Amino acid sequence: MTRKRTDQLTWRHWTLTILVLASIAAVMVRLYQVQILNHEDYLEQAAVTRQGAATLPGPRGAILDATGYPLATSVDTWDVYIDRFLWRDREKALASASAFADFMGMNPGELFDMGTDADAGDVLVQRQMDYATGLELQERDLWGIRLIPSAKRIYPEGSLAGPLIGYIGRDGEGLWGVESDFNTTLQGHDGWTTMERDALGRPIAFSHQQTKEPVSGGEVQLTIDRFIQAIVEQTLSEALAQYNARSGSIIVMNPHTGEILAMASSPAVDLTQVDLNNEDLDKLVKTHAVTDLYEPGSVLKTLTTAVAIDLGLVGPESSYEDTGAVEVGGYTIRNWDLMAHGIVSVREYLQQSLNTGAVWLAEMIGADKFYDYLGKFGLGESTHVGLSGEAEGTYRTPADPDWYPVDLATNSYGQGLAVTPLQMLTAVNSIANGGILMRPYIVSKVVTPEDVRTYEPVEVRRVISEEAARTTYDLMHDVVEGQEWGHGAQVPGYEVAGKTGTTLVSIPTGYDIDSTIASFAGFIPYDDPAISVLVKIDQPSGGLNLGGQVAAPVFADLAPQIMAYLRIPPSKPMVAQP
Amino acid sequence: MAAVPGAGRGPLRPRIPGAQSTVGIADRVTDRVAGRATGRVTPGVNGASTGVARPSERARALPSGWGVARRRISNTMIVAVAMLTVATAGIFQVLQTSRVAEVGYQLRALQTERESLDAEIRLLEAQVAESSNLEHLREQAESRLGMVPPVDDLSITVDTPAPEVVPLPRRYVEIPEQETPPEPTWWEEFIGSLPGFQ
Repeated sequence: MTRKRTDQLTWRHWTLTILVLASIAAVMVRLYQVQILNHEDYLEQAAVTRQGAATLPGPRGAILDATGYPLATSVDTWDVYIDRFLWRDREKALASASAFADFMGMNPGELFDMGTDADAGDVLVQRQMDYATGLELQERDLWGIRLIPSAKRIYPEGSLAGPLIGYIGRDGEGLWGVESDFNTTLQGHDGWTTMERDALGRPIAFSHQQTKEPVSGGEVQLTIDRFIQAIVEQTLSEALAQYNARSGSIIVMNPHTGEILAMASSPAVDLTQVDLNNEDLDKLVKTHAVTDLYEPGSVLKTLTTAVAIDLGLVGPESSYEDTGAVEVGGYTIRNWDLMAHGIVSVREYLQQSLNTGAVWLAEMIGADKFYDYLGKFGLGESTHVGLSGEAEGTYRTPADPDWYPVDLATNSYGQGLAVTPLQMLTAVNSIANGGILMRPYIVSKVVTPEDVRTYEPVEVRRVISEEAARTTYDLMHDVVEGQEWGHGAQVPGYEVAGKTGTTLVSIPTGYDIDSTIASFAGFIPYDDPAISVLVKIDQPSGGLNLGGQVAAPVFADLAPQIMAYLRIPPSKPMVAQP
Repeated sequence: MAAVPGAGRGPLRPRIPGAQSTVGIADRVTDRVAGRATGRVTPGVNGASTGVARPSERARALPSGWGVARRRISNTMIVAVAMLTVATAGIFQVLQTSRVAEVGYQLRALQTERESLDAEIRLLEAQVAESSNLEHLREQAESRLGMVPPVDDLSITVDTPAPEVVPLPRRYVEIPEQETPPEPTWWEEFIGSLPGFQ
């Protein structure tokens, strides 16, 4: 017997209906709250958790020396951050802080406080963490610890060629030197990849992914040879100490091509210990051989002589009477030794570096032609070596209102005009290479992912005839090798051509008679010069202060080391020292 | 044909779709044909038809050809084939998705490994460079090999040319030639042409 069912709704039905409706209403209210009211917040949170963009580092290219050795290169590192968003989960943050502190050797409490601070943004815990250590940390998979790829610039040769190579800031931009001048080439371009992540922020392998491949920076190969550069820097450093000099520069070039094989200045920045807050940093980072001007002194007599010979005004044996002084425009110009030498040939004038001889030649040449030739030698204009901050040099010409006839006289022996050491050596090189001005260059090759650019020697112009160049070059040989009492630049076993220079340091009121700049420009070996060298020692104060006393011996010390490295054998028998 | 349980106890109710799922469609068709042929259908309780013919009232023989057609393409067969097709397509899709996931995972792992190896190469190159810097060479020459700076230079000219300088690391000055990938085999091309395997 069954009880008859009624079709009427009972209280149970109503209760059930109300409960169901209430549940649905609650769900809808929550949905409204989540989907509409707080839509943006949740969207952002979901994106942060689920969507991730990882940087694919495009490493900065290396700067190489002429042999392919990296003078500056980059290695991969990590920047380690705490993700404050994930560390809002305090329980997990605490566990993570403990493990992280253990790994880093830090205080867990401090790490926890740092990572749970109310401030927004991730916390940088360590910059440039060693790559292997970073991988180890990554494997530990700690909650809220992010490792962002970064890079560290290293200098395998330490401070070698510091001002020339340059430095990069934290933003990866070159600050000076080749790092700055070739920043666009060297700089890599980071790629990125976007992917979905799991709750721990790890990339999901088969999620939708977009990737932009990173582009590695190009390599810049210099003409600088690290072995020669090291010899030059070592020799310069010793010379400054020996002669108690304030500063100095040495350039070594190939006179036939214009390649700069070494270029050193001292004092210079140490790339391994750069203090960006150092007030004198701007002085230490300059490539002084390119940026600083000086009066070349008697080295310029080689140019005056070359011009006179090129114009056919004199030959090596042409002579004049040296009375020890010459009057020009109301000024008396004397020889450096304040002596009269009587009848003097061009060869002897250059050997003895007589100012009166240079004035004699300049007056024969005439102002217009003289300055025209100076321009042809590249003085007063950029060498276009490709380094920033290059000074152009300056001299007055008859077209300038403040030019006086005495300027021609003083300019003829290298005073009253300003050049850079690089300009001077480039100009003198044209005497050794047959009369052609070669553009100096310091970058031989740029290798980018797209192409390889090779820099070849550039002939700027012919300045003097080959014969005039050869004659002047022979005279320079006689300066070093043709003197009875010897010369400070002589190198045992080799023949050298060169010329010394000594000039007073110019100050706002004129010249400081107690301070000199001693210099020497020379070529070795004489027969077929493999290198040209300019040595410039500023303000030696150890009793010796002339070019022949200070700079020439530096050349004599430097040159045989470079000859040995270049495997250029001596041309004459060497006598063993007893 | 099965009747709806309890259908005879109450007022006439519609059949519940799916309640006869254990009975093949072809059988139902046969029964209906048989019912129509006899004109007698077994009544249920309250006169509702059960749809089942009595055993004693078997249907007449079908016209020739009907039975043959039923054996050739039975509806059961069609359904089975359709289900098999759907199942195969489903399995294929699952396999395909699984393969894509697997390849994606491998790809990601390989990319990570490549990045790691690239970084390691750069580190090793830097180490090679640092190990061959001039200061280190001098130190090794003096401490390990007992060498000293030369006092007297002696130059001897020989006919043998000096060895070439080997740049370190070599990659900086020599651009490696790109290796051309091998031509894909026919089956790789076939697999690659399938959707989801590109």
